[in-house]
Amino acid sequence: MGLRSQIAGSLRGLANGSGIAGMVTGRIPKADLDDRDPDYLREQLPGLWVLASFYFRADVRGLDRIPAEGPVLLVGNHSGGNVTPDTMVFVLAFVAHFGAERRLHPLVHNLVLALPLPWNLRKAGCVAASPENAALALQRGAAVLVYPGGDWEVHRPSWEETKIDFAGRRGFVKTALENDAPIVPLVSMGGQETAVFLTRGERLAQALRLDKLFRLKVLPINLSIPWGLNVGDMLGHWPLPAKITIEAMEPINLRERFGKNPDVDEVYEHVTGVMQEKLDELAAERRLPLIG
Amino acid sequence: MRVEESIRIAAPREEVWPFISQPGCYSQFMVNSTWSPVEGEPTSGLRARWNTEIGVGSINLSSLVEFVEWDPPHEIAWVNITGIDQRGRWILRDCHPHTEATLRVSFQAPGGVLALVASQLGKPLIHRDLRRSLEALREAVRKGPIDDVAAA
Repeated sequence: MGLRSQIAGSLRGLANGSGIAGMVTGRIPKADLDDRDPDYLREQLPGLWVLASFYFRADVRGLDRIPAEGPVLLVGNHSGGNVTPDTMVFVLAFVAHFGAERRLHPLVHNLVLALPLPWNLRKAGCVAASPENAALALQRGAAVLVYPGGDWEVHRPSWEETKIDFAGRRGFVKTALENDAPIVPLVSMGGQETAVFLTRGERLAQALRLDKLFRLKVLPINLSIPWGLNVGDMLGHWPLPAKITIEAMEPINLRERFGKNPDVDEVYEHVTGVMQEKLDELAAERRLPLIG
Repeated sequence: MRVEESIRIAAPREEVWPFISQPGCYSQFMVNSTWSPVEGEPTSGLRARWNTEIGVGSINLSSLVEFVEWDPPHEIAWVNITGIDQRGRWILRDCHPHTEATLRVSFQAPGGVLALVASQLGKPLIHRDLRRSLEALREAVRKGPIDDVAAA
């Protein structure tokens, strides 16, 4: 295809929006399960340990409830804007507990994989969030970490910190069923105190057609260091040193609990229900914001 | 990085040895660590293997360790097979009528400057836990034979 026809195609795409989406997603490198590098993970542990132990005073519980072998879908609530300290703390705790030998693949947004971050997310096991990648990882006996709430939940206002909000996204249930993997709910508290999250800015995102262009349903606005008023959080922010508490709950074997053909809505309600109860418990333990 | 602590125990070495030669009892006096047997592996003597979990700061570090020195009633040493690179050693020295017990842990964190920072920050935490472990061992020996401790 010549340059002229490429430009013409792009201009046609600009007119209807979908072309830009295609151009952007086409440029995002696809993650590969084999990009994961256990030695890289080992080398990151000391730095992450300093952050987790002294900055976030992390408290990670219930890791022994996660099956030591075989596929498992870890379903978490997501907090902290685009910085997500809870993910970092959990990956550290998981690797320290199970060793770098146990595969863990966090599913992350395409755009996050493309950001110039100080950590190589793909070497850390992160793969683009898609049912296909999740299935591939589960078929290899890995633990897969998914945040169904994604960008919707991670940018919720700070006053909704104690609310599990997956926005009705039920894909994780289908993934667990199709791959016969148990679900381990993973509940975290504290990430939403690392900045003052004001709004998701979903109407602004809609007006700017960000959903069509970048698969973004939100254009969040928060108060954070060093930006002050931070629109979009695209460059991240310096997180405040909030205490992070994470608890892994008992595994849920879907067919054992809900029968041979579980109802997706029923499973969704159950999982979000038990997670909300646990989040309420963790919130009740907390005496002061940031301090914990 | 090596961290070491010693303590004097008012008992002969032969009375202290049963405590350190039963890793199953370590969880009772080794602070912030749990030891659990590995299915199908020996639990005592040379080549004994145990799963360990050591709490340092916010994180529990899990390892499979193997005892590579077993010299009653003088010394015991283990190294890791999986998990963070570490060596541990119990040393009992006769100071008639007392025993000087030493607990030494050597570990290596990979990853350059941050690893050095982490090692320095972690060192006082490990020192504190070793000191408390030795004090707990001294208390356990004072209370009586290992069987009594295990039953408690």
